[in-house]
Amino acid sequence: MSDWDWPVVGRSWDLLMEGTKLTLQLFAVSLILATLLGLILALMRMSSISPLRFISAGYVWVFRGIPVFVTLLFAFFVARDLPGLSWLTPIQAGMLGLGVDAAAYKAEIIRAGLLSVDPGQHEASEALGMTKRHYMRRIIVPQSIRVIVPTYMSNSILLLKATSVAVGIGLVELTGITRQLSNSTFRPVELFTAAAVIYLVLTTLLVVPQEYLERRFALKT
Amino acid sequence: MALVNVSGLRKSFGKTDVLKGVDFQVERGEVISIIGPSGSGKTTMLRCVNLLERPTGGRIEVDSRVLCEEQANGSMTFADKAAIREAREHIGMVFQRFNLFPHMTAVENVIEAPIAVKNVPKPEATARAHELLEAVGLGHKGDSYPMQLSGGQQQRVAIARALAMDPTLMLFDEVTSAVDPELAGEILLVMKRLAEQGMTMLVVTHEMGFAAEVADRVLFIDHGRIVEQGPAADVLQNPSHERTKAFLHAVLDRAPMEAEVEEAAEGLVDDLLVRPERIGGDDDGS
Ligand SMILES: Nc1ncnc2c1ncn2[C@@H]1O[C@H](COP(=O)(O)OP(=O)(O)OP(=O)(O)O)[C@@H](O)[C@H]1O
Ligand SMILES: [Mg+2]
Repeated sequence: MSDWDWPVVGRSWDLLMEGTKLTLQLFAVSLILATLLGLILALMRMSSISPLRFISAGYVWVFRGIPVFVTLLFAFFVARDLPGLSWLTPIQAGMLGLGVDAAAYKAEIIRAGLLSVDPGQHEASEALGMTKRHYMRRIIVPQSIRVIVPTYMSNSILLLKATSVAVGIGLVELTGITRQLSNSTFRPVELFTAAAVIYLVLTTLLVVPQEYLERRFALKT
Repeated sequence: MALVNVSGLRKSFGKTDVLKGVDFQVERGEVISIIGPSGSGKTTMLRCVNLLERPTGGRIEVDSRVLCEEQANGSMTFADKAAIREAREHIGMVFQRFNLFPHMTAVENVIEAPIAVKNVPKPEATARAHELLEAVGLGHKGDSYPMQLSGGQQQRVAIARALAMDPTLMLFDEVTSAVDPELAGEILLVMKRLAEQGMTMLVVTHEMGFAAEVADRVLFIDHGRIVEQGPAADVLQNPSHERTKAFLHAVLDRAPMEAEVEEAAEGLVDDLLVRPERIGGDDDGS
């Protein structure tokens, strides 16, 4: 017991925060990418144009079936060799890989939410002469958010934790910096405990937007 | 010319033939009740009139717009999307289960389509929404959300929402059957008012009292065909077909509803008289 060295956490704090910052950057950008791509995929899946449905279903099938780490390696080694993507930095490749993977899950979550809206809402909108574009935006999507938020947020917690696989392409985010620090100080228990607590704080903080959104989109009774 | 012209209307779902050749016309200002047993195709027929259901045969024309037409080779041609939307602007529909937008207040429900579809400026749409809500006896409920309203109140908001588009034709599909029986009267009273204002109405209903009192004509439909149609009094009191007789016999065993309407009228009529002439945007309220 007595040979623990907790002050090592304090001495490493600045570097741990550097890693945390990169973790949050990876998370934020890949979340935005996954959400936008997921929304597009969900709308494609519900389109009346069958090639769009086919592409969307294929995307979800592929990226749900591949480990996120493999997708990440593809983004790192393959995507950067593609003609238009040579400008990708390793960090951007990480964001891309994580986002592309998470988009498959977001697509399914958003689709389930959109499908949960009573078909009568589509019919009432159609009967009033609204365009599909208009009523999806004003009638269907706002009602689906209530259903989407809880699963969307727990999936986002998974994404936040999944950023740690970016170690595998050499990114020094929170897990990466912690491993480097523990290698140099020989204090893995203290440092990984600190990292675990930081992850726990971050994932707990995600409850705040969740509660806000749930309140914002609750039906008034 | 008739406002609605339906001829040879057929609709099947897969192998099930639901409508097997339906012909009818609706004159301007006419109120038609559609009655018939459960599963006979009443809802399907009504939904074909605004193309919520795509017919598999026949021709539908509403207000001189051809919505669909069967070609000589049996294939169907439909009006294009924009033309269908344009036609729907003039065809109000009220559903059995209200289908109000639950995330919007009563006023927001009513103004959404006029603003989005007809580009009515928001202040104007809002003023009109308040008038319409007042006309259906809900002037004080504009800021309520659907879930804060009773079924009868929700359905009246739904009627106001449809009227806000200034339709020339209103479709009603069993609009009282999802509400408590004691709340049906307030909805029926609003519909009766609307009929008196000259609105053209197609009303699928199980309320024989309404059919008898308000409808100009009654269509009796069974197994996807119109079995009998004619003036309400004839069809309801002297049906000429056995099936009509059997059907009426079965439903008239239930309590008549005139009493309910009168009762509801007691409480409501004041509200309604605030602006009765506004219903249907028709200024001659006598
Ligand atoms: N979308 C659909 N797919 C398959 N069958 C359908 C569909 N809609 C209606 N039907 C069938 O068509 C027939 C007529 O249905 P419809 O709803 O028009 O009857 P209805 O006269 O309105 O009955 P009710 O009085 O019970 O409302 C029924 O047998 C029904 O099962
Ligand atoms: Mg029906």
